[in-house]
Amino acid sequence: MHWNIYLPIAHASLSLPLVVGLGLVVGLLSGLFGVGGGFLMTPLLIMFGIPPTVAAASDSNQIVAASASGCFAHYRLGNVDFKMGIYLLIGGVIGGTGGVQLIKVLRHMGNADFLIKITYVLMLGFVGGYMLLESIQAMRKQKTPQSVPAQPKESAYARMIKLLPWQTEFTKSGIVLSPVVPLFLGVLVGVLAAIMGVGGGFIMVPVMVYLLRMPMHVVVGTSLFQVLFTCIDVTIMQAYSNKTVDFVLALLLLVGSTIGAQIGARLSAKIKDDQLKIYLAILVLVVMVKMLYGLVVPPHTLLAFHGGH
Amino acid sequence: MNRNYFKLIVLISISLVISFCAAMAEPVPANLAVSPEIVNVGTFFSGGKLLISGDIPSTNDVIIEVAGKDSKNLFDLKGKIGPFWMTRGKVHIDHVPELYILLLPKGQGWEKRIDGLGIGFSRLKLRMTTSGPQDIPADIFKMFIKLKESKSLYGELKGAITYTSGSNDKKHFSAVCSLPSSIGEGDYTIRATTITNNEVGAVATRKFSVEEVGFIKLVNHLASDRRVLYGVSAVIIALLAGLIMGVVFKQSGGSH
Repeated sequence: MHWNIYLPIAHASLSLPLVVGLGLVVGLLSGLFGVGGGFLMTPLLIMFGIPPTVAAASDSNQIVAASASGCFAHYRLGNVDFKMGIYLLIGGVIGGTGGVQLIKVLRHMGNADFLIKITYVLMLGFVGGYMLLESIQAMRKQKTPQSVPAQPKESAYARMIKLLPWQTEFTKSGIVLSPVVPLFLGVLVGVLAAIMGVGGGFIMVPVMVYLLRMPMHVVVGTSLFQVLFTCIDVTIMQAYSNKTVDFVLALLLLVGSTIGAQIGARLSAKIKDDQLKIYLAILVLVVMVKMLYGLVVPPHTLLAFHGGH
Repeated sequence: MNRNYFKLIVLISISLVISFCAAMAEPVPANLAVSPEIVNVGTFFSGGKLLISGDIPSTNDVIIEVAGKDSKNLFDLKGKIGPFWMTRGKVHIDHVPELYILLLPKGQGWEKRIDGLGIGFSRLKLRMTTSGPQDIPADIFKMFIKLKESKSLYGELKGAITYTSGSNDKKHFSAVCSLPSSIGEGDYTIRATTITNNEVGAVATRKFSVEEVGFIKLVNHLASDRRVLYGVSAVIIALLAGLIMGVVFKQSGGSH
C-alpha cells in the first residue's frame, strides 16, 4: 500500500500523511490561538505544489465543513444575528460571485496565480505585522502600570456612519446602523473568499467588533454564519466556472484540521498566550516572505502552463 | 508450361533471398513487449512504472522512446513588470508530444550520438512550431524542455536500458520507465530503434494507454460534465462531514 493519494482535480499525487498533517498543523494553530486557519492553509498548499487556483477553491470547500458545526452550535445558543448575517451574506454572495469571475478572467489572461499570491503577501503581511505588534504591546503593558483612560470622544468614523441612509435597528446586536455598511463589508469579504480561499473571519471579527460595534457574544456566531454561506456560494461557483474544487483534498484537510483544532483548544488553556502569539506572527510573516520571494526572484523558466496548471 | 513454373520458382527464390538479406541488414527488435499495457490512475496512483523488453542482435544497440500524442499547447510567457515576475503574453507550441521520455543504454557519449542520429530532443526541436502575438524568445525550446522536465513529463535517461545475453547471437534488453503522476489520460507509443554502426536501423512500436478508473474517473466526470451537481455535492459532503466531526468532538466553535 502506497502512502500517496491522487488528487483528481489538482492532478497531483501527494503523501496522505502530509495532507492530513498539514490540516492538523493549521487546525492546531487555529485551536491554540482562536484564529481561522484559512489564511495559512492556502499558502501552505501552494508551497507543497498544489496549483494556487485549486488550493484556494478547495480551501473554501474545507471551510464549509469547518464552519458548519461551529455555526450550528452558535445558532443553538442563540448567538447568531440573522438580520446582520443576511446583509453580510448578500454582500458576500455578490462579492464572492464577482471574485470567481475575476479569477476566471485573470486565469484566461494568465495572471490568476499572481493575484492570489500577491493578495496573500499583502494580507499575511498585514495580519502577521498586526499580531506581532499587538503581542509586543500586550507584553509591555504587563510590565508598565496602566494609565488612566481618556474620556471617550465620538470619532469621525462614527459620525460618518450615522450620516448613511436607511438606519436600521439590529435588535440581536443592540445597534442601529445603515445596511450599506454590512453590505459593503460583505462584498469585500466575498471577493477575498474567492481570491484567497479564506472564510474571511480574521477580517470579519475585528470589523464587527471595532467598526460595527457588535457585542462579542454574537460576533463569532454571526461571522461563522456569513463565512459558511459565502464559502458555500464560492465553492459552487468555483466548481461551475473554474473546475478548481478538489473535494478529496478538502476532506483530507478537514480530518486533520478538526483533530488539530481539538488538540489546540486543549493546549491553549495550559500555554502562555502572548509568547506563542509572537511565534504565530513570525510563522505568518515567514510564509509571507517566502511567497514574496517567489514573486520577485526570476522563475526557473520563463514559460508556464497556461491557466496555472 | 514447365518453363513458366521454372520462372516462378526463380522469382520466389530471388524474393526470399532479398527478404533474408534485408532482414539481415536491418534487424527488427523482436518480441518488443510492454507491461502493463493499461496504466490505471486510481485513488492511490503516484505515478506508474512500465517494463519494456525485447531482443536484438548481439552486435546492435537499442534506443527506446516513450511518447504521447502531439497536442496543441498554450503557454504563458513570464516577464518582469516592476519588481514582480508576471505573465506578459501567450505562446502556442505545437507538434510536440505531451510526454517524451528517451531511454538510452549504458555507455559513454550517447548524448552526442543521438544528436547525430536525429533522435531525442534534437528531433523534437526540428518538428516544433511556435506562434504568438508577440516576439517569441530565441531560446523557447530550451524553456519548453526545462518546464516539461520540471514536471517529469520529458527526460533523457542515460543507462536506463540493460542488456542480458540471449540465444542465437541475440541479446535481451529491458528498461523500466517511470511515468509521472501528472501524466494525462490517453494512448502512448513505445518506439524501439536499433542502432547499427552509428546508424538508425529498424524500428518496432508498441502502444499502451493511461486510464482513470473508479473513484478518480467518477470525480473527474462529475467535475467536468456535471459541474453544478459536483459543486453542490462537494458542499453537501462538506456540510455532513463538518456536522459529523462536530458531533464526534462536541466542538462549540469552528475555524474559519
